[in-house]
Amino acid sequence: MQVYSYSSDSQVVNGLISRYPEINWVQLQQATEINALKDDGLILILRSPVKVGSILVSPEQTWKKYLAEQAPNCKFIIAGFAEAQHRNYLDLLNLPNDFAGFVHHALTVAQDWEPINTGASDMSKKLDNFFSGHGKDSIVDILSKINVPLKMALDKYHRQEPKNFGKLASDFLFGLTDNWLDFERRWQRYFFLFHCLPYFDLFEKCNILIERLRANFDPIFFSTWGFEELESTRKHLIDLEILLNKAKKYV
Amino acid sequence: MANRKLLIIWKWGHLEQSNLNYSVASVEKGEDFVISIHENKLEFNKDLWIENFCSKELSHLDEVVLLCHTPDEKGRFNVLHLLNQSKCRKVYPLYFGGGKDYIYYSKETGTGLIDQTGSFQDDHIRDLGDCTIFKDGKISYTSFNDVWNYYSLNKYKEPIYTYLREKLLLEMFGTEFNAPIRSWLEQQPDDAKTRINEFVLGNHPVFQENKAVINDWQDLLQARQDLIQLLNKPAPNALEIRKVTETLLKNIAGPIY
Repeated sequence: MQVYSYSSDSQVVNGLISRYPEINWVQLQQATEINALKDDGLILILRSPVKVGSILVSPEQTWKKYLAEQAPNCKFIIAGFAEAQHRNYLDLLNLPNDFAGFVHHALTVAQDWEPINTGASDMSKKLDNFFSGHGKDSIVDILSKINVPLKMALDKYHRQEPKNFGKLASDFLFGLTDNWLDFERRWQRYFFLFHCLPYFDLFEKCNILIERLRANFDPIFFSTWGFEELESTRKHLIDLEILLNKAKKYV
Repeated sequence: MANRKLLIIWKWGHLEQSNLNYSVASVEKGEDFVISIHENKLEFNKDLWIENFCSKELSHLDEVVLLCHTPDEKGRFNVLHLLNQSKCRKVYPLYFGGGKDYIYYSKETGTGLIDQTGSFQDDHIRDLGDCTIFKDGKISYTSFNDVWNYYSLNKYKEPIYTYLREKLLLEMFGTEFNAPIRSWLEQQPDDAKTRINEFVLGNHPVFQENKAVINDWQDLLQARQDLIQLLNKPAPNALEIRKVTETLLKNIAGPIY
């Protein structure tokens, strides 16, 4: 039997290897490695909580939602020190003698069950805050404050005769660098947390786009913008929005 | 008795476009204060103004609960910088966020200090009429005290979880562990060690005056006693540690941030 595990600490995996030497254990180094595995017969143990940066988070809800779509037949098992009983929970202080039997009885990830709460900061709530926010905080709202005037400026530019970029900039692009700073602050506040997610690659791509956009919104460069910069920035922002919407599916 | 100062680092509306980096609001009875600091102001020219702020507004008599809006690594660094500058008796950095935290005003319970959009709660609330946490220009003592007590107890939850429930059990997993927890605790980071010792040994006013922030009063006190005994046990049992820590975590209100 081959069992994959994802854990931010090595002790648990080492402990499981010595307790169940007959199992072929494969430790995933990155959460995203799960995407390269075949769904059929896949057994995955997520050790929760996971350490990201200097804090512990409980990402089990988010993993389940993602795997239910991407690898519905996977036997997804959460391992932890919380005192709980569930067919898909491996209590590390009360390990089963018959590990194969335990896995056999575990439900597949697409079945209807609630992951047990391992007690750290809830990653699904953090994602919810990141995407939906509250008050004026939503990342989508902040992004639209940049996107909408850029789109208006582009539309206007196409209709404008004679072309006058200076007029366009003063009409539509005022305050955009401040809004971009707001967006970046919010991004930086959350980005490090996303490392523990199986779809971190989406956020990584977002981060590459954000780095490109950062150069465009640099106040000195921004003051030299012309039509090309306006168009390329708008294109990057659309790509960013698409990526964020893909990630939002799993909240 | 120490002065209680609640520092809230947040997107304060009144500081956003202002030249001010912070503002101070006093609480009824005059001994406690709420200090608002705009989160963005920590990024710019922080050295100079933070130094001035600390020498002007904080003293060795103060006990400070510092509430930061959602954790991020860069923000954490800036907050640590702020703490290192202060000479307060005690400073506890904590986090809040998501619009559902205790610091947010709740229509149901009437607790909390701030609204969802960057202000103290002092607006008209539908179905409730005018609701303000201000009385004659000062923050209501009851509102402040509730919030203070909630976070004063909640601050122990994270080190109990991170160190006693997770790190200790992880180190015990699959290995022989024959040292008393107290010796193990001595080797942990200062902040965690101090908080856990303080929780165990301290005489907390919150235990006497505000049971609302404790889910089950008797269970919590019993679990605290059990923890004291466990700390000195020569060969602690992992299941006992789990039982005690789970009871503590269950009975301290609020999430781990």
